[in-house]
This record gives sequence, C-alpha cells and structure tokens, in this order.
Amino acid sequence: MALRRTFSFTRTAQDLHNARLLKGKRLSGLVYDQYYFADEKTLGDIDPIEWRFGEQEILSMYLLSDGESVGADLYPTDTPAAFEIEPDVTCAWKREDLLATLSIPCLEGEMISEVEGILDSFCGKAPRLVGFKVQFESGDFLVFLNCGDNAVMLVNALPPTPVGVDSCFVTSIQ
Amino acid sequence: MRVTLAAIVFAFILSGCQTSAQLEPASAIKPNVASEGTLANEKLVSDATAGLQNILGKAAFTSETKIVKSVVRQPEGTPGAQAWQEMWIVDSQGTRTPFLMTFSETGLGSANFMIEKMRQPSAAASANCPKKIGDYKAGEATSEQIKGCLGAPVDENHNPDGRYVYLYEVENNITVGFLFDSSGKLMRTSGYKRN
Repeated sequence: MALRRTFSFTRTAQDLHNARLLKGKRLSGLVYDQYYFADEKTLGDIDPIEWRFGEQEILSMYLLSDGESVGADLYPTDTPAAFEIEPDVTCAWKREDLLATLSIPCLEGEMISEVEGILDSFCGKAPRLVGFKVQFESGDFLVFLNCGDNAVMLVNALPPTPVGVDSCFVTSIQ
Repeated sequence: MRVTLAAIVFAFILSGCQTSAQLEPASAIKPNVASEGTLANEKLVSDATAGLQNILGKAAFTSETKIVKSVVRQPEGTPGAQAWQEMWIVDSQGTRTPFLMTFSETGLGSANFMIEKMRQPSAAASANCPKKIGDYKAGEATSEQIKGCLGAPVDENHNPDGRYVYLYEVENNITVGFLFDSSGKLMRTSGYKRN
C-alpha cells in the first residue's frame, strides 16, 4: 500500500479494470476526504474519493505521483489522522459526502451503466489515464479528473481538451 | 542498487530551481501524514549517508546520531528510470539539519543521488507579524509578508505557471507549505507530518 499512488505505465490497464468494477452496481454513496487547515475548508480538491455500492463494497479513485494520471483499487481510502502544527491550529481531514457537496443527491441509488477511462496523449508521448467517466442509467454522468495539483469531479460535463492533446474514452487498455 | 555517481551539492537550494523535470511540482504534494522510511536500498542508503558525512564532517556522526527519513515525492517514471525525493534530517548532538535527497535511477540496479542542504530558518519576526501560522489567511497574506515574518523558507519550489511554494519546518516532525499565486498572494497552506 505504500506505493499505492506511484505511477507506472504497467498499472494503467489494471486501474481501468478496477474502475470498471463499478459497472452494473447501484451507487449507495460517494465520499471524499476534505482537508481543513486551521478549521477552514481548503476548496478545490476532492482527492481521494470512495465509491460505495452493493453490500458494503467500496472502490477508491485517486491521483498518481506523475501529476497527470489517476488510479483505482478496491481498498478503502487512507484518511490521515489530524495533527496540530501549533496550539489550536490543526491540519485535519473529514470524510464528507461528495454527492451533497456537488448538490447531486439524486444519484444515490442509481445504477451505473458504464465506466470509461479517459486517455490523453500529447506530442506523440505514451498516453496517460487522466480520468474516469462514470455513466448512470438515468443519463447523468460524473467525470473524476486529474487537474494537475487537484482532483475534480465534473457533473454532466466533459473535460476540456487542451490544444495539442489527443483525448479518447476507452473501456480497455492493452 | 549500485551507485554509479554521487553528485553532492553543498549549495543551498536556489530560488526557482527545479530538482527534476520528472517529479511533480511541490504544489501537487498533498497535505499528509507520512510514515518514516526510505525507498532507497541498503547500499544506496549507505552511500548517501557517506555523502552526508562528507558535508557535515565525520565528527557529526556518532553512535547517537539519528537520520530520520521520509518520502517527499513518490517515484515517477518507468522502472529503471524512476526518480523520487526524500527528506533526511540528521539529528546529531542537539542539532537537526534537514537535507533534500533526490534519487534518480540510471538503469535497473543503479542510481544517482543528489544531496541538497536545506536552509535553516532565520527568524525575522516583527511586532506586526501574526502570532500563529494559522493567522496567515488565504487570499490575504502574501509571500513577502510571510518571508518577512518567518524568515527565509527552508525550500522554495516554482511552477511553470508562476505559482510557488515556501516550505517551513515548524516542529521536529512537521513541515508547512505555503502555496502562492503568481502575484504572491497566499492560496493555501498545507501541513506535512512525519510519524
């Protein structure tokens, strides 16, 4: 688990395979670790997230060490314990409901119909798995995306494709 | 892992330097609680420790000397060409000296390492400075103010997009990172603890 977030090209296919285990499952919850510094919420990052489905099953998605890729596995997210950096000033993480944060509680109980990986390639370099698109039977979809320093969740919106980047949605990686 | 080259850098970290193009910028390092440990194997640890002895002098290393190691940046790259970064703190005779260790594989079984001595914090607090680190508010505080109050950071790391990070050691095992936008305004503060 120590190298859980370490990037390698060899893990990409397995990460997508893991994420696709959500397909055909009914979502029972989606949570993330919100970071607080000195009791103030630090906005803009939802990494890592934990999908809850079926009978207490979970799937985690998170950013990888290359600053571009995402990973997924069936282990719980490892929320750090809060610590004090000086009296009354703490760094803390709280597990929060992402569906409520994104104002989309309607997705709870919805069936997941498809999961795709988002592969980006730039200047002929080997493509990186930069996100996952999770589609629901209702037609709604969520995109978990690596945005450099932070992870974001797009709701019914596709990520913009920067100039010069080739982007495609895939269900398997060779 | 055989060490083919030990590039020892005595200089302090320069403003704006990037330690490796392969490693993610410091702004991407999440606030966290890291366990003590190293990814280097026994041989690499031994060679890197010898490098530290060259810098600090053999007299600084006694049977009581402790070197606390923790991973700052996880490995990036393909096997045989991975790079990662660790902070090693030499605790010797009541003095703690932090070093940033950058390891770069040069093939399967061999690696380079670079040792950068981090700055010692210099106190420069004035009466107008906030009493606590928690009082530096995002969107209000500036890098100039923080440097003026806390002294020079032990490390600073600049992103290509203009944002930059100042790192300060606030406790034996705690580092605080201030992330600024390109205009020098504080964006967020992250804490890093080594267990």
